[in-house]
Amino acid sequence: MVDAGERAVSRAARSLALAALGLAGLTGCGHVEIHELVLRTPGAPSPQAEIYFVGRQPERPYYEVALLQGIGFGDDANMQDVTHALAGRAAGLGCDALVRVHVDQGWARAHAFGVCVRWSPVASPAARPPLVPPAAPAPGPAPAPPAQDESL
Amino acid sequence: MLHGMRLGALGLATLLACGCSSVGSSAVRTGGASMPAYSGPVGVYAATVPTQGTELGVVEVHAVNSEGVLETLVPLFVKRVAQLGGNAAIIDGVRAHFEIVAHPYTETFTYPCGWGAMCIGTRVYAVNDEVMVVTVRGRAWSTPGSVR
Repeated sequence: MVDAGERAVSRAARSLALAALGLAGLTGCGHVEIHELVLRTPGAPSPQAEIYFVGRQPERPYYEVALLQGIGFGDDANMQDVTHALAGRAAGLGCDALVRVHVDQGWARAHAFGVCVRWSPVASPAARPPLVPPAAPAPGPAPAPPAQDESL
Repeated sequence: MLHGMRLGALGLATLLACGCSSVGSSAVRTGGASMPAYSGPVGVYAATVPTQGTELGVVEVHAVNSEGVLETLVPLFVKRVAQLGGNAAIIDGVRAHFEIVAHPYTETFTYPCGWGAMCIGTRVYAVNDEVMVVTVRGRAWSTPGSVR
């Protein structure tokens, strides 16, 4: 008797799985979730953001605009999809490049982090727009840009 | 049996009451510089570092799955930097690692068990879930020239 019940449950589960598979085939079963922390006011969208993984740096000065995090699920849980999603978001925020990109690959998820930057006309921090207070522990004016920065 | 169920319900209620957040953090003061906690705004650096300043310590924050996002982790990172007396939070990296965790899954099902009666059965089996642990690591700095 239990076997008959289990068979019925198993049939139902199989039908559900097939339906889910069919739906997945039609819709594409994956997405990338983007999280961001904006440090400076974004500019107009740029056509494309250059991608620089950890270990390689652009050869021109830049300043940070936002921190970006991408989490890929399902079919999009891979380096290509999460990196392109981050670069797309960086371009949307008006960034010229996405630097310090790092991707960690899991079995069903992929995690990516990168810093969205804009080219600085000169290395001087005076040319940079002021910081937006991102997550100050206490209210107060935005900190002045540092006296002089250098790329990592 | 009843006693066991009561204990289980109590455990579940405690779990729900405490919330059981996965967010955790550490801050370790390094070197000889010791500053009081800072209460002003903290600058965040993730691709550049200030050339002037003093390193006060190292900071790490982490969380699991849906809590492991920048919106949750970076404010806590900044808070821990300020607790060390820093006015500059330097993020060295945001990394994730994945673990497969097995947990018991209980399923209830019904089946005909003779004379027109329906019986209810329960089976418990292990389900593997992938857990993503996201970690933000960096340093607390005190830099001159800010609103200190």
